[in-house]
Amino acid sequence: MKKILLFIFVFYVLALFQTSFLVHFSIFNIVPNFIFILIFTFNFIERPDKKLGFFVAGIGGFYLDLFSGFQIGTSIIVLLFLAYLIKRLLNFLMEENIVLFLPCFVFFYLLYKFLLVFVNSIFEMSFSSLFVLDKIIIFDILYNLIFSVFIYSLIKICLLKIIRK
Amino acid sequence: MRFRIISKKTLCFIVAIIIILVVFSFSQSESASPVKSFFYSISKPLQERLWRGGEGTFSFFERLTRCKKLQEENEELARENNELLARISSCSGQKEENERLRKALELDLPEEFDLEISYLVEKDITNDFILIDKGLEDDFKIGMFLITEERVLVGKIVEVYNSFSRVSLVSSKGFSFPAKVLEKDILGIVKGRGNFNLSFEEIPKDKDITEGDIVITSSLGGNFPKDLLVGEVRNIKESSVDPFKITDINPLFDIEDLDSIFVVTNFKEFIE
Repeated sequence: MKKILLFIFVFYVLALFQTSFLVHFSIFNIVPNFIFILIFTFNFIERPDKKLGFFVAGIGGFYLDLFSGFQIGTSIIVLLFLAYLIKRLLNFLMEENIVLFLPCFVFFYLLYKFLLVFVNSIFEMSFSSLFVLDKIIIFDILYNLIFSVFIYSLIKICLLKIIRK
Repeated sequence: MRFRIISKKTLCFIVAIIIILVVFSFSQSESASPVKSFFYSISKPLQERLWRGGEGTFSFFERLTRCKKLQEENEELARENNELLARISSCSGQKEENERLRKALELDLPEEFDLEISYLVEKDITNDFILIDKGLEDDFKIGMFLITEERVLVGKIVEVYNSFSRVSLVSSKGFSFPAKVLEKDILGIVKGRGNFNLSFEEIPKDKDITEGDIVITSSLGGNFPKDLLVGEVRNIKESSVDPFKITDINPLFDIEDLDSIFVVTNFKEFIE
């Protein structure tokens, strides 16, 4: 219960921090998505049979929807689906490590971006916006990848025991 | 499958929660989601503090890196200022003459818009949305558009909450409106491309459009009044198979520096 309350609070602060503070430091209009990074890293590190990762994805998605132009439910659905995929993937992997983390992050971040546009199009019943793999997306991935390595290392060093308990 | 990751019970619970949230969100589409409205209201003090904090921190670092540049800019501005003063003095004679002519012809000055100033509390630049600090309480409505003090079109309101409004920037995907090139007989369609990018499309091939031309709104379509500034033409693209030219547009407002903004509250009444 303590962990759940902690995540509700941490994600709320992170969402506000991302949308009101970090926007002033955007590069090419890209702001690091700490909520996604945290959700991905948590699910990647958590044991595949544990379920807290789903809650983390759900609450993170809820805050992302709240403080973005998306309908409530868009990011929740996408992130819950990604959490499920990560756990399925981890069933086939012997042990997670940074070498696996990096390509997985790139793949799941791309998938996240694609699914967001797709689910949002379904909700709005409009398919005028398409996902385009352009220079900005590549920069976006690299920018977030740098922060994800820090967060992954931080979690591995400080919080691994708590997450896997 | 070696083991089940989610039990049926958990899955049903998650799906039910999502459905409730989505339905609840959609059912209130006219005045925007009360869930969002509630969270924006309770987050307002913290958001405002974070916004000002971010602005302050950014300008502190900016000042540090721009010290040298500022000195050069200062000298340049002083030169420009002198030039402008010279122009003003030469224009003042013409202004007096115009005033006299206007009185003589009994022309009314063009009716200006009713403007309401608002401040930004959130930017979602990746998705080309901003959140401003006024909403239903100030009689803001969906469709009202926003301009800067230099009459540059910024976007329009797409969701209204009690004390906030969500604004879709002109660069957001799906945003499009008729426009024309300043002082040239060239019409086209401005389209938002996302991530603060705009394009000017459906320009007939025989039209002479050049980089640096200024794109302004046209009265066609009735969404916006004419002659609002949109952006500057750059990167003209032409292909032998396409009957139209396409150009990119550099927006004339800087999203990074955008802090206060004007909401035009009387446009519908104005055109009626």
